[in-house]
Amino acid sequence: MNTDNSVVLLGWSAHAIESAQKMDRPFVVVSFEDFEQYAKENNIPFVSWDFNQWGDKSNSLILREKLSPFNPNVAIPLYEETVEWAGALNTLYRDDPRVINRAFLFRNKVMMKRKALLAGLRVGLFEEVHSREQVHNFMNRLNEANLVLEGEEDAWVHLKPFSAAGTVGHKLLRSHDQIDEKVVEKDFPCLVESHLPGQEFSCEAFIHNGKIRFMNITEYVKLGYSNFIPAGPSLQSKRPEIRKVMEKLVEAFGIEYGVIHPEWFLTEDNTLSFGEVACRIPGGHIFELISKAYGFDAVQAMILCSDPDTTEEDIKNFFPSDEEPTKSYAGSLMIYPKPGIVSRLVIPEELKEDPYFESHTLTEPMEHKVLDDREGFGNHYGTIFFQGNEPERMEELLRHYNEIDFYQG
Amino acid sequence: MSKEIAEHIRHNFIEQLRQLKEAGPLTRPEQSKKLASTADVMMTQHSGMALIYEYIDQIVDAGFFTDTHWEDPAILNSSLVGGTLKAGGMSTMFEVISELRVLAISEGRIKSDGMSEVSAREFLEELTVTNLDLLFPDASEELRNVDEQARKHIKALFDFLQQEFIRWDRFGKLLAGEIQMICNQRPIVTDRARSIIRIIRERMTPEEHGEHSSRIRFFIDALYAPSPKCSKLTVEEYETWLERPGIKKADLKAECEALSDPLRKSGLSSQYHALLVQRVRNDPELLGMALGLNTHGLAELETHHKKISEYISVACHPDTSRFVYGLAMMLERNLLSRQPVAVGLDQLLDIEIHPEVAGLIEKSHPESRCTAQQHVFADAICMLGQPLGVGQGWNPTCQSARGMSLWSRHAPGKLLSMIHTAAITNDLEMRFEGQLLKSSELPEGLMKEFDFNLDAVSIVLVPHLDRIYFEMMRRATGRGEDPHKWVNPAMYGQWIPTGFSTPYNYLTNAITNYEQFLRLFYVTHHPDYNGGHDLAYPNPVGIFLTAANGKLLGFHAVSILRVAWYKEVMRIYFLNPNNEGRQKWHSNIQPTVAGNGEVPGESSLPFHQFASRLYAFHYSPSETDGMDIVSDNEIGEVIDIAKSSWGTSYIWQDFQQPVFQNLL
Repeated sequence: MNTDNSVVLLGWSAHAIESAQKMDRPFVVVSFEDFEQYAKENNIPFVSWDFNQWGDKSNSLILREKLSPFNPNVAIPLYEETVEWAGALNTLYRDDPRVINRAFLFRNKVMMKRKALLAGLRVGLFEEVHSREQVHNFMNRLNEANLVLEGEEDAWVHLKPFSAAGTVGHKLLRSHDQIDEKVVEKDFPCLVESHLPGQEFSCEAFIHNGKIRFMNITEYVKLGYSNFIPAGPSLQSKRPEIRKVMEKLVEAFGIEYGVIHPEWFLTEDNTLSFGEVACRIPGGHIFELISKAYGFDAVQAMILCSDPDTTEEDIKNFFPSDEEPTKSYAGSLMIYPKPGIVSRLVIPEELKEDPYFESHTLTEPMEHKVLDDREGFGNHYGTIFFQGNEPERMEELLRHYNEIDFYQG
Repeated sequence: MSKEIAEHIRHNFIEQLRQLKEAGPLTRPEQSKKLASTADVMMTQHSGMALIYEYIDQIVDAGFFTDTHWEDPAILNSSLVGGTLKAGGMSTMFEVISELRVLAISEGRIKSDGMSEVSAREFLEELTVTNLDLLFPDASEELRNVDEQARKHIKALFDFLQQEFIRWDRFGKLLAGEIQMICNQRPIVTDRARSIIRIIRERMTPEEHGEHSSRIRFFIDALYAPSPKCSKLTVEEYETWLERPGIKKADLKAECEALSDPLRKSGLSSQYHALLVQRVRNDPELLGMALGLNTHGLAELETHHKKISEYISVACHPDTSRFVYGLAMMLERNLLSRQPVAVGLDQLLDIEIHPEVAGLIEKSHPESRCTAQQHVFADAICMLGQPLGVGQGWNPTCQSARGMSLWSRHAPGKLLSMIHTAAITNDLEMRFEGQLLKSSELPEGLMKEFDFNLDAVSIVLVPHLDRIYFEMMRRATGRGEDPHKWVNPAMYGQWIPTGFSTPYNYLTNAITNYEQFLRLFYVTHHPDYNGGHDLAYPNPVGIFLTAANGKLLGFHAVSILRVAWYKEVMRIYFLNPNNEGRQKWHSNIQPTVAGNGEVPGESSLPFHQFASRLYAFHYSPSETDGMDIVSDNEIGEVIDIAKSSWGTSYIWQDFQQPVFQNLL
């Protein structure tokens, strides 16, 4: 293992810091000033930095200077907002100008899709739009292409900000009326795309030296709410095909080091369509679930793969085989209260007694009103974790408890 | 009793504990929560509590309490434990585990710089003493608001502490006092007193009773050995003995004399007593003796002996033993000469109870050998005999309990007729402003889950009364004034005076013209200002219910029964239907149930203290003269008390117009 150079963690993540602490190599955390005091008190190497400022007085050259006492050789983005900073630093560390361009690729959903299209991956119809009018036109063209007749339902359109994590700012528009109701000036410019039918899932690939060293498939039970790892047998049976498109993606995007987390759609006729891709720690507790299901620390794996100086042997020793079935499945369900007055937490007895129930982080609420205005999925109130041996049962539980009101009036 | 913890739960708990040990300071709080979430289900039963206790040193060492309120045992405060336990959710779970840590410190298993073994023991003693309500859960207002899961945790914790720590000798005095106070109130449902007595009998040796041994002995005997004969025989053997042919009258007489004494002194009837009364029911002399009747009661017995004997033959059974005390009390009220009562009871003797109602009654008496009809009849007698012994159990139905108590005192015939209708039809009708309300056609009221810790009459009536009350409130809401103004007279009866005053403004959620309100209360209720009168009928009033720290808990319904001097203090005597008249309302506002001239079942407070909690009352509009002469000092004092307690939850406003609009 590279024990000479520090790894730079961009963003404050309690889990990532503790995982890094357990490795035999130096690291430094870069994040907002607010965390400085805590870092100092707890002996966490820290450089304070405002990721939102980018200019003469705040750029990658200055950040590199500030970090130089730590002798770093790689920067790892933990959050979406730090992806281009990591790209910029790694460009400098590796002396390769394309690294930053790749980072921008991850930060702009239109560029990303264009690149995927060029690489021969299947994507939906998409466009960059600057006004509501253009969204209407896009829907009209989709309707035409789908041969929608007057009076029939409009084709569904997804609107997404160019650069936001996961489902943040995502709006599903099912009709022209909804374009007028839901879309606001602030949304523009943005991406619109056709609705991709099929089963959505994600894939996490740990890449070193341009090769996928470990690949997990995550089964989404309900997008943004629940998923489990590894995916159940039906998705796993598509593993060779998924591996193929993943390799295509890695090659097309020129990714050499780190983790990518793309989302795919699998249609009934076995076609895989590309949704989007991120290169940071995925949401939905995916890293936690990977760690539980496979028995390795996913953050450490990310650090290892991100460092060009990591040896082949280190990589080999670190990962288990991703072809063999794991012992058990790890799942998580994020709990969002329904709109209305919320005053108490009610956890069904049978959940706590279920052999698959592992733990939860739900806390008693203060009485308050939950508004019906969240975009994307907003903030969840806590998570329930499951673990067990049967993927069917896992799916059943995640579906069932997603219907339960844990927060009641 | 307590089943074993499932293997997967045990395994999961140990796994989460392992992860807590591995967690660093950043993720430790989250992992502590996860560990608590797995301990949750274990904490509801003894074996689970024991398992957590087995690992308590590891839990503490792993940093479970680090950076929490519980971190340093030195600053734990036993008087705060009860409140935190009742908070529910994670707070309850952390608190329970904190108690287990203190227990481990007291046993020397965990060494702590902040707490010695001795101080840990003292801590647990204080905590037990201040939380007898948790050790022996009753139905006080504060506990009823506690989440059910937290209640289970609390129960399991105290069961565990009882087994592991509580040395009963230290608690003899306290427990004797507790039983005494419950009995002083003469509740119809005496389960709580009975369970304390049973626990003492099972857990304590006579030497452990300490200096209060004779008082404790008295209560144990009242239930388990009310006579020398009973002390030698089981209930079954006693029954055989009583039925023996040729048993001497003198022997029966001796039993009657012996058993009536603890009955009258404690209000507790034993199973033996029910058998004895059944045996002597046809002999008025012995029966009068067995019930310990006064002259009123004896006269009633003489006049109505045949009827009474019939009541006994129907309803007196070891499983309805409270009937014995209720019967004695009813006879002394001389109700049987009233036509509506005599007819009402006759009708109840032979009814077919609606299957759903019968189901509820059976649920509340799961081990009873009696029929639902026997329970309803026996408890109807109790309710007539002990109008102030009605309680609401865990249900948020103070209005219904208050109503039954009022009817028992002032409209017993109406009460019996309601019981009759509801028991047969599982339905009840009342009129509100000329319209008929039928409970079966109304939506759910305040009560969501029925607590069955109630007498059978309440079980029959409360579900209906609750719906009707809720519907009346719904119809009277939105008139810009407190709906009770219209609902109380419609619900309880036309004797409720038509004047109604409250300082609480429904539209603005503010307290307005509070001083005026108080002066009106004084002038209509305080004998110094109203011409020296007591109340003719109970006044159903609303109070701001506050916790021991003075903080507002919510609105509560009580009845003012009378106002009288006692030892140079003007006191208000009232019925608190929550069956726990001693519940502390603030650090220095502590209603008493005995020792200040209270009749059993009454609570009392000095006039001004009660006034400081009042939020609504009825009055007669013709009796409002002299508001200005009420002592300014006294009014000022009441305002101060109010503002510093529940008053902090409201905005205070004063307008010039009078609040008692009925005067205009």
